[in-house]
Amino acid sequence: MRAFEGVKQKLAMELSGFTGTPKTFRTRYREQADNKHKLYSAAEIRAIRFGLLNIPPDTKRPLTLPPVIDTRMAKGGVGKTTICGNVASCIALSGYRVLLIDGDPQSSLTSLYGINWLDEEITHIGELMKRTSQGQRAHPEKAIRSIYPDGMLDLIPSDITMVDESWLMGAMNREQAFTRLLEAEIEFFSQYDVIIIDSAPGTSVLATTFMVACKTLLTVVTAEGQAIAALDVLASNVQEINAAFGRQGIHLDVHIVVNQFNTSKTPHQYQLSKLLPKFPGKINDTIIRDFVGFLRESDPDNISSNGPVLEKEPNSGGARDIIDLTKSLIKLYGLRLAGTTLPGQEKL
Amino acid sequence: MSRKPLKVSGLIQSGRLVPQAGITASTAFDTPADAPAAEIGQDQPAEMAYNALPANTPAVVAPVNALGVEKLIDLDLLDDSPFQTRLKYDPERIDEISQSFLSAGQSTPITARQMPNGRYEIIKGQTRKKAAINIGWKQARVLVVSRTDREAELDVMVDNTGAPPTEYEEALMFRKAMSKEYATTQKAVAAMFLCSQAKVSNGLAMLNLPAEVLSLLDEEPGLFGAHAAKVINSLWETYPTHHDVILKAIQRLKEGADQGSIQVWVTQQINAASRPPRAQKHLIPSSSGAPRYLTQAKDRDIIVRISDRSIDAAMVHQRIDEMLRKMADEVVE
Repeated sequence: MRAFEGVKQKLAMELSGFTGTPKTFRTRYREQADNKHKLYSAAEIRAIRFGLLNIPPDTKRPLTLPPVIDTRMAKGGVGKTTICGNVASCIALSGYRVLLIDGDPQSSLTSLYGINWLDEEITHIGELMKRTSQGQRAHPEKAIRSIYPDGMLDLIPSDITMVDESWLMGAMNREQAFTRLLEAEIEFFSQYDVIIIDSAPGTSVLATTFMVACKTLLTVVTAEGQAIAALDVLASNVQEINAAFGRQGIHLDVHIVVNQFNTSKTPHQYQLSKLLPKFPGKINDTIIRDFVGFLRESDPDNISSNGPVLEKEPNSGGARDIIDLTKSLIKLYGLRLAGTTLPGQEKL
Repeated sequence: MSRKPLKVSGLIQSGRLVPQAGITASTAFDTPADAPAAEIGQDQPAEMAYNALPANTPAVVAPVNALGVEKLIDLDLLDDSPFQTRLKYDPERIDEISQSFLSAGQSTPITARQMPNGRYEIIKGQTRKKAAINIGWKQARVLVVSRTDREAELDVMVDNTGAPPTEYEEALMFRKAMSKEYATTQKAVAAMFLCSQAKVSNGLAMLNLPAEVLSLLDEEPGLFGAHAAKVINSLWETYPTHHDVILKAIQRLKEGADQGSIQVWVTQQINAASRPPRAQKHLIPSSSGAPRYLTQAKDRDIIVRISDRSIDAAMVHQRIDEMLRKMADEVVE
């Protein structure tokens, strides 16, 4: 069982977009007899936002696919999983229903949320895609692990067996295997407000299937030469996909997040000053700073105690960066509570 | 939260980060070029088509229909409107539009009229022009229309009411509309700008503010609105000797003070200056520092409190009387 129950009032107020005084918030959303410091869970924040936006509490998402955020970079070690896992928890704590998919056989995301893939029975996303491709029911609802209750954050974990993608080689139209799964199981996938994928580095068919299903890749770079060079590798992947699937209306774009930035390192400043004019309008305004708390999130000897920064160090600079980044991504990817609110109306 | 967040925009603004010059923007992730906007003009009926003349031949002037023709025009041929009453442009808004230009392209053309010298004068879309320059565009889609000075001026004003100008800027517009006799009565002005007559009269009253205050508004049109102007006007008359305090109260708005606080702040400041000094208290201790007596003067009363319980009050009373008798004689003599 995960120990995390929710966030404290100050953060709950910010994430729910409540603009009144702390006292009003307390009297409205805390029981009178409750003298302890109340913790607000993701589901409670969702209920608060529904109330603020006058959305009926039993509103169901329409039967359409939610936005897909694919965290993708050709180079490893730039912090894809860190950004992906932390942003996912922040989106969930902002009241959106999140489906998180670990698309990396290294399973770092799976263990970030305290699941030890070595000991557990895991049905990974590759297996689900395989079932659909072979004409069977995939049953994704049996594969998920509930991270935040009430479906606020569900995870499809992975393990090392996902490396085997030989079945994909023989599959028809293999690049669209993931899209096919989404469409075949739309009743399951449409209940989430967003699907977030942590993709493996390098170039594999599996990674390509995820890219084809999304509109804008979320790319993470460090302000270092090797990482920036890897952007060109990613660009050539993207161009191939756009050339091959352009006729089907697929056109991939990227959004770049600068991670592990250290203002005192001159090479970081230098590389960033080159990156900006090269990708105008594609770089997120929030720079994720080098923050040691991200290293404290995972302990391989004590996996069950792992958790993202908003759970472990919610008042840290790292948490602040993640919250700012998340807010901009919610806007960029057009996330909607139960598919209802209009853009620009979300903030009260 | 421990540290201030780090933003690309913040770094650039503070000069800590300077994007390097001479780097070409990557086209790796760009949308494959769709039909360029320049072709739009070719779909127009023949009498409206203007494509015989390329945009960058400014010396030649051709007739343009009032409905207008859409063309790609060099940004350096576009001049700002002399009729524009807007004084300041929000840099954040310009950035937002720039970003949307980059991601979605320019969805609405700028409206401009052609001038006899071959250049173009913007009627609507000054912010869009700034946004396009901001991201280094050389050309933008422009709807070229034919307008007389009067028509152009009216068009500029009506656009202003669409994108919210400040109340002061609106007031200037109301006055202009009346002085140029586009509308002669306040009622007509209200009808022209689709607002209430009260708004027009409040706006015009705002322009009657003292010159010192108006100059502050010229610097920062969004400093306060018509309601606060009313308050300032009445304070200005009520306290003719305290104009400096009122100006200070307006300065406070620049530091983020609330408009509604002007009246209270000014009256508090003025009252505080004229209030009589507070009751004076003197503590009289022994040579070792132990408190013995406390005297307190209030108007014509002096109260003596004996702090030390071991002292006999009757004795002190007698001694004070003796001292006062002595003083009474002094005054008589």
